[in-house]
Amino acid sequence: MFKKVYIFSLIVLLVTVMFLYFDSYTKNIITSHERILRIIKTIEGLETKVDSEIFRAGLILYYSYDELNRYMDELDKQIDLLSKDKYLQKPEYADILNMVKSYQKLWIEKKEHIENFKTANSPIKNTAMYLPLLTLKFIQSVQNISDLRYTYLLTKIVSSIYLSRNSMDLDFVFDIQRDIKKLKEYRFNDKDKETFNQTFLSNVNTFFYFFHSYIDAINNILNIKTKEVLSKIESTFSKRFRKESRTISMFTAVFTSMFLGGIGYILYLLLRLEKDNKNLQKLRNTLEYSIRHDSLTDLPNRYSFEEDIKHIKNPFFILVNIDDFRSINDLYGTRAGDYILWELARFLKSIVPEELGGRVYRLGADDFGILFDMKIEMSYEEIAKQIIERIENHKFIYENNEISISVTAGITTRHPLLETADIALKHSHKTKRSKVVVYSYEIDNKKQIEENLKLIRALKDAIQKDRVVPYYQPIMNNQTEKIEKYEALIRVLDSSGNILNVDNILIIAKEAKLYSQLTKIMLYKTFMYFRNKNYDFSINISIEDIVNESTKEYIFLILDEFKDISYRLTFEILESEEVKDYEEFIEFAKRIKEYGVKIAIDDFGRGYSNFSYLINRDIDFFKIDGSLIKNIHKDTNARLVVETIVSFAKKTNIKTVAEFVNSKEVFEAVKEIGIDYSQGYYIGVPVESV
Amino acid sequence: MIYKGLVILILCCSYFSIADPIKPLPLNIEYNREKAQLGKKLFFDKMLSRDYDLSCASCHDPKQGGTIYTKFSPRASEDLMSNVPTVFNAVFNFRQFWNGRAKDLYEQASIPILNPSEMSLTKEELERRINSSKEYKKLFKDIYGVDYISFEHVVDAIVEFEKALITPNSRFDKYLRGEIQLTPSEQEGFTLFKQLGCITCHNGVNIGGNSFQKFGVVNPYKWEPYFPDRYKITGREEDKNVYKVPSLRNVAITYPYFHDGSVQTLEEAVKKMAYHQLGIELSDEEITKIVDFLKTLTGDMPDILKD
Repeated sequence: MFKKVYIFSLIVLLVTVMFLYFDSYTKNIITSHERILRIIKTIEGLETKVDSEIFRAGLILYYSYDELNRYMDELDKQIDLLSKDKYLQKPEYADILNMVKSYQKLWIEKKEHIENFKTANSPIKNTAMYLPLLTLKFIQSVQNISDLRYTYLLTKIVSSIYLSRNSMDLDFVFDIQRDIKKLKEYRFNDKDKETFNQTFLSNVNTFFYFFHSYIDAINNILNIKTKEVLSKIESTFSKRFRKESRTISMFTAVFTSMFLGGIGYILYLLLRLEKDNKNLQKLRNTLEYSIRHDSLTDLPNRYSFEEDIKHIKNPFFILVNIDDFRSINDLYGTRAGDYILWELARFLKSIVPEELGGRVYRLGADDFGILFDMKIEMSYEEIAKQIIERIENHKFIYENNEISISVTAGITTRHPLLETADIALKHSHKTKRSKVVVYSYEIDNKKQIEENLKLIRALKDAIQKDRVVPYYQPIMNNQTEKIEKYEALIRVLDSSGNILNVDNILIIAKEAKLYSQLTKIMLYKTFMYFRNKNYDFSINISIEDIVNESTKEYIFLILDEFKDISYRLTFEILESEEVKDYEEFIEFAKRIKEYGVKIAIDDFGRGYSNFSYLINRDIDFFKIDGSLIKNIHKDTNARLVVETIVSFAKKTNIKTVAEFVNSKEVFEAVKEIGIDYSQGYYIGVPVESV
Repeated sequence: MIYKGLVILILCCSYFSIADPIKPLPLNIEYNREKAQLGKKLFFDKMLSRDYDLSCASCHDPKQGGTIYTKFSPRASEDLMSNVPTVFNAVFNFRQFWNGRAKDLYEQASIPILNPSEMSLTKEELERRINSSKEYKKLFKDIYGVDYISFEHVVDAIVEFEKALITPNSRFDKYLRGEIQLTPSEQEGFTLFKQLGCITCHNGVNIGGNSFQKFGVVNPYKWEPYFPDRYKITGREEDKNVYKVPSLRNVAITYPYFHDGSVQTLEEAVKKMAYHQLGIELSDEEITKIVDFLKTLTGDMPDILKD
């Protein structure tokens, strides 16, 4: 780009320089030519004037030579000007300059002739004027016939002189020689007449003396080739100029064509620019459109959606997802899938109530969005349900195949719209309860995560500041109806000493890798508490604790430390957890038996029970899951399950504990079934100290 | 009858003389006053001669009609001798010197200075002299803007002064301008001047000085080899005794007359002219009238000489 600009600038500069050069060249040529031609013309005119003055000088009696001299001086000056003209000093004009020089030479010659003419002219004029006067004078004194004859001779001579002067013909001169001779021979007795004759004769002689040089001068003046040379100079110079002007014309043509070319090029560039602009605009529009639209369905895309929601006031957004779209692709091919997407887009556009300002977007592979900006009377869910119903009732015909699709929708009115709707949608997929889910904080994992993070922070804080404490819930022997032992339950206190109400604190602790620390704290604190109490006590551990080397080590450290009371301890192992390392568990169970520690399976009967591995092991207690117990007094099915467990336990010599004993009825039923121990709010709430 | 016809013919010929053969001198002439004043100083400066004994004015004395009242110039020798032409109105002469060997004042002015038989300087000597004068140095610096005065500068200044030497407002010029009437004698003298043919040579603004003519047209005049005639230049036999026609302006105060200064009075000069040039013997009356006319040609002294 810049290179082009440089080159172009360079060309412009070059052309300008060339043009300026050419301009001065042309100006020089034209002005010089004009000047020289003007001088030549002036010289020509002056010479003509000189010639005419010469004839005036000959013709007019009282002529002033000043005029003639003035023109001659002027002519001298002009010739000088011409021969010194700097334009003619150029070598290519040497020939013309030479011609000028030869003209000057001729002119100097002519000037000499003119001076000779002037010298001859005065006496010629004088004698030619004086001779008739003399004749007239004689006529007045004519006395006799001889005088008359003499008069005749005088007159004849005078007329011949006139003729010869006016004809400029020397022949007449010879004619009158005879007459002059006669005149010379004339003798008068009268002295006056004798003197007259002498005067007349000397005047005639004077005339003829000067007449020769007069004629010569005039002939020389007439014959000298000054004018020919001058016109040759003019024609040669003009010819030379024409040649030079051809160069000028050529240059002019070049410049004109360059100029026109330049204009043409600029026009072309302008047109192209215009066209490019149009194309660019078109491209921009296309690009803008394609940025904002999905190429397959031609629906506005996610970018559009993001742009649109910036200006929206009362958003209501439905995110529609085709259920198991992949299987359509798998079954009918991707082209069919594309067709479904295309057709669905078209269909959605046709069914979305425009009066609600709805706009349809394609937001993902099989995700469509419908956005409204309006508060509506109808329930959002109802609208979404209607749309879904219509979609599901729509028959997609692809290559004569009728394809039906089912869709799920997430609805939201909360920003960020897409995220919240997606959460709702995911919730719907997860729960499979409803095809339409309205977003709420409850279903928002994100909210949970935030909550969890908060908890983790609190938990860490509590661990650091020793606010993790065991609470003890009593367990009653159903036969003696005495509290025989306590289950240590973990409680986390906030900074002001209130118990954090967290159900799933252990799950969070496990995720945050804090679990083993909690186990350790519970172990230590419970042991410390019960070493001086005469009660059995149970602590919850998980398979993870057994697998975790550090925790396991700590467990045995504590057991060693409190060897004397370790026989009172029961480890409640969560039955619901999958035991991966079976060998590890057996090993652990064996070792703790050495300390007299008992093992209880917690939440027994919840659903993941793996009876088989328990049968041969040293299990001391089943803690029957609360869900089976809490309605046992009226739920016969639950009772049946519990009776089976109890029956099994008795046969394998395992004691049973009922959790969630929260009423007298339950307690009665539990006793009736023959469960050995009871735990629950009816028996006693967990307390800080026994 | 034939004679009458001839007379008519002659009269017809005369009728061609409608042009003004003589024009009055201009009242003013264009020249550079500063240069002319400087030229005036130089004109009278004897430093311009080898022996500090001659100035231009030695031969062209304004008090003697721009010439001198002697036959020849003080240094005239056998090689070159002539009556001194007046410097007055010389600017209007078509050539300078008796034989016109200088084409203008510029050429003329340098010749006597360098002429060994006249002022006899060299260019170098002149320049040495003039450049050693503080006064001239300053004047030339002021006027010509030069630090070194060249020969050409000196001549240029003198020429500028000579241009100013015109003598306008003669009675005849006033007559030509229609301001006054001539006396009957003067008037008749002018008529004779024309009728006799004097005017064929003595015409123009300077009443002469615009052509070369032979002295002794009708009746020959003796030729002497040391006078500067055209023959000295062309070598042509017919140019013997051919001289530039002298101007008749101020003729009454520029005696003696002719190239050889042989005539002291106007009357004799007129008489000789008529005899040699026209082949006429004039009557005393005619001579008186013509002389009366010639006396009207004396003009005012040039302004530049007045202070």
